[in-house]
Amino acid sequence: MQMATKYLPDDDHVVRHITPNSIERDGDQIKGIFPQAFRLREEEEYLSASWLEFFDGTKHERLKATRAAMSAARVVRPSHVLAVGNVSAVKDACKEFGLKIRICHEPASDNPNPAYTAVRRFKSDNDQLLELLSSESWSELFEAKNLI
Amino acid sequence: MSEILQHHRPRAIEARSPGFHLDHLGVGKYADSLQSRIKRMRLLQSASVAELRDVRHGASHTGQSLADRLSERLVVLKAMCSKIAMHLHPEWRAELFRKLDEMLNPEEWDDEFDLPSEKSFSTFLRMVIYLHPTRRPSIGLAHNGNFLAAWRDGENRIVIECLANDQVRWILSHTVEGDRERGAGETQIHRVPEVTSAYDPESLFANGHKILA
Repeated sequence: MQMATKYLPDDDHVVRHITPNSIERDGDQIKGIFPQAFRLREEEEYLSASWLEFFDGTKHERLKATRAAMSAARVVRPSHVLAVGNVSAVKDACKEFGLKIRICHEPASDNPNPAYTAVRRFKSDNDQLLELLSSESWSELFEAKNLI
Repeated sequence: MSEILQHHRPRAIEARSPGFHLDHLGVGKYADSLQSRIKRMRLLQSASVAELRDVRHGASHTGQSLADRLSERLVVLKAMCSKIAMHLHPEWRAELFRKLDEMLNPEEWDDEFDLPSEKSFSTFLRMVIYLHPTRRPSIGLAHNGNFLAAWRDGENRIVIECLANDQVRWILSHTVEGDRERGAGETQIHRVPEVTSAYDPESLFANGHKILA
């Protein structure tokens, strides 16, 4: 059952869970993430994320709490990465490509991640938008192994 | 990053006398590059490389464990590499095998991804042989099983998604005099140099800014 929905403030941040095959590496060094990490699957209607500022504390503490919350809902291994983007920057990037997205905090009683967030009205058929998100607007990366 | 492919100078050039240069005929690098592209086009049509195009999608094995399906697919992909081994630098081939091991590791596998596509991998291998990059790409997967290759030089990068039958989707971003530019499109592997030429991609594909021979 879904609980109350709230739009995320522009100054806040969204966090997306990235698994190894979407990470651009040069040897052991992480260089970025592939644009396709933001592509919707056929059955997906919105992009899944988490709300960083749902948790209190320093940025590092919030990231640790976000990782823990994500882990309750799905497997987050040390080799995975959390990609962070500012709400306003993500909205602006999408607007550049004609999308008026809504970034909504959507906790649900059957979802163990209380910070769960949906990026609605998002379309992923424009590769240039995916590139903009992955290389600029939603591109601050944190390795999960440092967030335990 | 070091070389990705074995370098072989065209025989016609090797056979010439030491003092002979195409520059003497006024054709210079352009002719050399054209010659190299013709050679690479021929490589795509050579038996082992051409056979890669005939690869079929693997059958779905219901009832098989994920670990078994990943292991089976890994064998198929490595066999494809082995068929064209003579065209890959041994070091790069070893690195590619390591990367495949890593990508198809059951412990790390993301259940939301489709198994890596053999047809996409065929396009990837043929693309590497054709583009002849001297910088090794970062390799990834899209959730539909398509192989991804990224070449980067600082903040500039090109990402190529390999589809079936030599088709690719490319996305390029780079900075020119402080302005960020982006381009994207879909084409056949042999058209990648032409369709991306406006973005000057040589520094992405080449190691140490060397122009590809």
